[in-house]
Amino acid sequence: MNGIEPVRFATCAGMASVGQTERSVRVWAADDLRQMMEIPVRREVFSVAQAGDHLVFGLDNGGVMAVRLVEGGGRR
Amino acid sequence: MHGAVGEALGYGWMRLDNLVSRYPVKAGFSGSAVWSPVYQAVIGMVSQAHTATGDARALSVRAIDRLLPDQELHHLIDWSLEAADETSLTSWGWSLDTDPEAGRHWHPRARGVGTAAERGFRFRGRAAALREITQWITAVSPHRQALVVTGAPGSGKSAVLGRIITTADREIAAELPPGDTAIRAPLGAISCAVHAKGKTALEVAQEIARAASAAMPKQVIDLLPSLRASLEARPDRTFTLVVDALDEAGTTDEARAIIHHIMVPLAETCADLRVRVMVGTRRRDDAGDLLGAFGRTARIVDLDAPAFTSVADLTAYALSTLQLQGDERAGNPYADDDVARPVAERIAALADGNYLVAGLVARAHGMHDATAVDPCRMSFPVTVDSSLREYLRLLPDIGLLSAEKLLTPLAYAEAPGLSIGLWRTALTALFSTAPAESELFGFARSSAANFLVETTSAEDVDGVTFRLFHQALSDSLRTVRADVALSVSDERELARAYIVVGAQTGWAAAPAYLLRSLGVHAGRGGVIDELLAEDEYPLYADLRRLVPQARLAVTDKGRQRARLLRHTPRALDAPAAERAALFSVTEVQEDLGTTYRASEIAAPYRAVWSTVAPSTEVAVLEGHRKQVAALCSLRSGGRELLASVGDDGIRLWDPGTGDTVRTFTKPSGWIGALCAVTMGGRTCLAGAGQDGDLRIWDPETGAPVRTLRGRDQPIDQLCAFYVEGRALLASRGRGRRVTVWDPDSGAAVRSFRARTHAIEGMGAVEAEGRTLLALLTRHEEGRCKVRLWDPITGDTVRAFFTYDSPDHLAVLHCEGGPLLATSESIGDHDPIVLWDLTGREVQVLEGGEGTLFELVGVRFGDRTLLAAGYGDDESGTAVLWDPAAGREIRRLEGHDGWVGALCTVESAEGTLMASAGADCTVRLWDLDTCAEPDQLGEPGAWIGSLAALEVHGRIAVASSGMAGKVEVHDVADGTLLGRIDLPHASVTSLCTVEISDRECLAIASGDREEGAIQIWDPSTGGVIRCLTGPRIDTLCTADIDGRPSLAFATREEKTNRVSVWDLPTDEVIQSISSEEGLIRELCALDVGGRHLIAVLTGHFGIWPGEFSGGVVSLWHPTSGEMVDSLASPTPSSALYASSTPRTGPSWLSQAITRRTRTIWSVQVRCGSSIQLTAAGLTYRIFTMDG
Repeated sequence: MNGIEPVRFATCAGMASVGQTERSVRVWAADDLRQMMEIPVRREVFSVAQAGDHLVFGLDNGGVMAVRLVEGGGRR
Repeated sequence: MHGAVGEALGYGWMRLDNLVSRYPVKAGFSGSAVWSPVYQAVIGMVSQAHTATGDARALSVRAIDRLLPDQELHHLIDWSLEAADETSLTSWGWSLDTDPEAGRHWHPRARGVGTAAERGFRFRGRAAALREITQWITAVSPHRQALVVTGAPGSGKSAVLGRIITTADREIAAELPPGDTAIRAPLGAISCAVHAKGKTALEVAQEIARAASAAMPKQVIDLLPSLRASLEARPDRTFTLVVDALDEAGTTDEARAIIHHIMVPLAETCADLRVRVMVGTRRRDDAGDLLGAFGRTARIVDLDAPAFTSVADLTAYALSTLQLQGDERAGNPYADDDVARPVAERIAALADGNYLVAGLVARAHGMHDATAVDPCRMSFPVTVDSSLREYLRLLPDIGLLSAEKLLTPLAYAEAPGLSIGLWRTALTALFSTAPAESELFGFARSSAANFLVETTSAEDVDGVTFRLFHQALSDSLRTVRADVALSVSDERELARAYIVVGAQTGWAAAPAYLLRSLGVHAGRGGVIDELLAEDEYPLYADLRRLVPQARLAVTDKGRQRARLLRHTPRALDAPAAERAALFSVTEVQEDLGTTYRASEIAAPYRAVWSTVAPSTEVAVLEGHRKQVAALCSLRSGGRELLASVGDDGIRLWDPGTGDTVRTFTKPSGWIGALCAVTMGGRTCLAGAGQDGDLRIWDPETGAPVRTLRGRDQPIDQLCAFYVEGRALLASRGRGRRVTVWDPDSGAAVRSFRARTHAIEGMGAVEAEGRTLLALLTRHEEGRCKVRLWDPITGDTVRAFFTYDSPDHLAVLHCEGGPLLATSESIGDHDPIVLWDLTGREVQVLEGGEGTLFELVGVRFGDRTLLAAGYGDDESGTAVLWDPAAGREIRRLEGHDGWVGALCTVESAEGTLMASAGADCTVRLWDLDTCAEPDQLGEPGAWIGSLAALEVHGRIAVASSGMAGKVEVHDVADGTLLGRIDLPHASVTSLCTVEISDRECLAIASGDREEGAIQIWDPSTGGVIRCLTGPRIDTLCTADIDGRPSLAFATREEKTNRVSVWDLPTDEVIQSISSEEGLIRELCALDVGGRHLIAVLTGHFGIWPGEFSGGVVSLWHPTSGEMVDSLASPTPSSALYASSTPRTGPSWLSQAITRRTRTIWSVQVRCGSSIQLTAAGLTYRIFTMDG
């Protein structure tokens, strides 16, 4: 695991955790840590940040990837 | 709809996992019954639909009884199988009248007709075979063998077994016509009959268990103990099992699993329980010999052998067919036995033992002749082709289409066949016309055609489907068709027509046949590009069938789509919405267009842009959660598979699709070596490691086959080789011993033990006309010796000393003779020395970068290459050299950690290089298409910090990936908005800070000694503030009495303190000084309006990135006063922390441990004082396999 980041989409608060060996980003509900979503990134993930309704991932080899959560939502 | 009972949810609730994505559970299904085909009972009631996934929740019958006591359901659930008496248990088992295959398969085959709809009892023959079988059944002492009924297509295997099964049934036997005097099975002689067509080994095992009232097996290997337990309780009963159409089991792997784990073990070990086993099968299937898989357990009844071929039998069959017995035709000239018999005898003589040919010829005469044919003038070639052609010629046309044309689409059809609609589509495609549905249906059900056409159940997803009942008929019709049209042309027209149907219907609602088999038609027809151009098809298609066909694409778009599919193995089992999301990720990373990232298809998320460079691998196989220690390729079920082992288990992969074919558990302790080994003529997988034992598994099931107890632990290497045709296995352990094993007997044949030092390497080599083992042994003063050792005699044939102290040895089977390669592990560019077997240095190759983890010789076609795996914890490389040319030819970059396992594997793409190691992935490379070493660019750094900010009204993200620079991208489309130059190469942390109501970006950068914080104003694009000093490792925004500030710290003992830069005053406050360890992370926290700094402290370990301990503490930023602290419950872990002040004070931070992958939640209680408490739970993060 390389990091976690609080996230908020629409009315849903949670956090995103990024994994190195599992090469995925997981989004967890803040209240009970239930997994809400898994985003397989296909690469090692070192950091995550929310920017608008996007999650942005810091990858290896200087790579950045952005995904948009389809539900849409709030916090930047 | 079909699904599976998933997790128990408590209070009588259970989750229902919808396995058929086309039919999700929707609102309105509440109250529907949950039917278990295993228990043949209603087990619950659907209560809630999960609209997003199509899954549902259901209540068990017991729970419903609690909620609705008036219904008195307890009367149903109070009863259990254990309470049933013997009579009930018997009825619980198998019976022909309740077997769904009875009407489809057993009855028509036994009667010698094509389908259940056709009347009559025409099977008369095979007296010798029937006699043999009935004697087998009635033998007092069951043999420890399986009776295997085999023969050519059309020889009547199913007819013979069907005759046995049906005549053993009391009701059927009573219905047999009086004239039927052929041999019958004893009444009640058959305990279980399984038609294996299309089934898995587990399904077959479950049918057998159900018939024996045994516990239902969850795995195939559970059947044997379960069956024994059941039969031991009833020792007075025999259990006679018949399995037919073994060669048509779901896959060739499944067919072999049925043999190895059901048929053979039952025959060999359950004879004492009066178990008898019979099998009907062709001799071979697509994967090769099937009879050989039975080994000595098979007792063969070969219907083509003279002993079982009787002209009298065939004559009887031809006679009954001529007379259309059971479905007699008025005016049939063969109604008179005296007339019919000479004709039947002539047919039997000409058919040369083939029942299918005899049936076609006799039936054609019986149906159409107005006067009896003169047998002396009868002449026909003994082929299914000619017989079928003649048979069809006599059938009436429908409109413009002859019977031959009407049936041609079925000859091209894949299992389970075509619906009436697709049949018509296919007819139009091939012949530009098709009869009305009702006409075609009537034709299929007509007496003449239904001899040839098999109808599947209406319960099939596509409704009633049709196909030719015998593969020989399909082969024949296609041969006939080849006279007027090329097969590839037909397949092209069919594929195009089917694509139109799918596109018009919408792929989400397309017939299941198209989703399953259209890829195969398109591949055969050379129009796979046209199918791949259908953007939605891959969302719904059976990707396991589509991916191998996609490699045939020739257009740029087709190849792009094929690459997309190949690089998204996770999509194989994903529903459509998730596939769309997964494809979008692959699309942005591999630069494969914009179809799925821009589409309107529903998806939980969608990748929109990426800056990563496309990968050079053919595929990256994900699934292991621990580093991969070993790889090997092996043939199983007629195809090449790739085996890998990590601390989390063993995986078998299909290199053609990237699919995990099977996973199986390994023993406790690590496995460091794998290899394929031949046992009893079968390829098995051998593995060894920490405990010194060699374990051999069956790759078709994952079941352990044998354990060889080793005396040397741990074992680092295995090597399989042959000596004079005998398969042997060598193990190399750290106890200075090499042991040679006979895997068939399990015996240790010979061993070699070094006197004082380790054996560093081993490989089999052919020299002087025999197989030797090359051993690399270490000696005094670090010198190493290569020893050529005879594994049979134990003699050392030759030995020579190497230079330096190599600890890796590889054998290269070069055209000019074998070579040995040696190298040391440690030190960049350590040379690799190639030796011939006399000890002469042949070549020196410049080594790769980093530590050497693996050195191995590999074959690519007719070339032998040397492959080596290098790396460290951060990155890994595989390097390949051509020993003949003495130069490096490929450098495979991409692993995120050392490469410790290499091998080659065959796939549809040709020979691929497989590599694996620290990053838990297995990667496949095509040496012909991956980049040359000098084409590779400089890789960037990993991005450890990101920050979101607003730039000219656009939401942007700043990232730290490039040396000495921060890049700012528009988050909506990835446009580069700015590039900020930094005073130091390494960017350690990013965050945003508000200055004068403007959101700015704070950037910490540094080198070993010095550091700087720069503040970049996006409105001007310039750096407006800068603070220099010692190195800064972590940075966060803070608030000091409403003034914007930055808190920062260095992870270093001398300056283990949090400082705060008060931006309005430009003052730096030496604030927090922790004595709990080194400061790891910082974050700001708003607790009830009080602005605090949360600090995570601990101790760094000896390994890169390792961080042990972990205390979370809360501090006042200016006073440096600690409010509270709490130690992590997992003290030996690396920790990361974060918090969200905007969500309120109810929770502070989570910590993620590196090793156990848990999230630790810390809660902030805000009352009269602020306290930290563990949230009470440690949550495990489940990795991708759950």
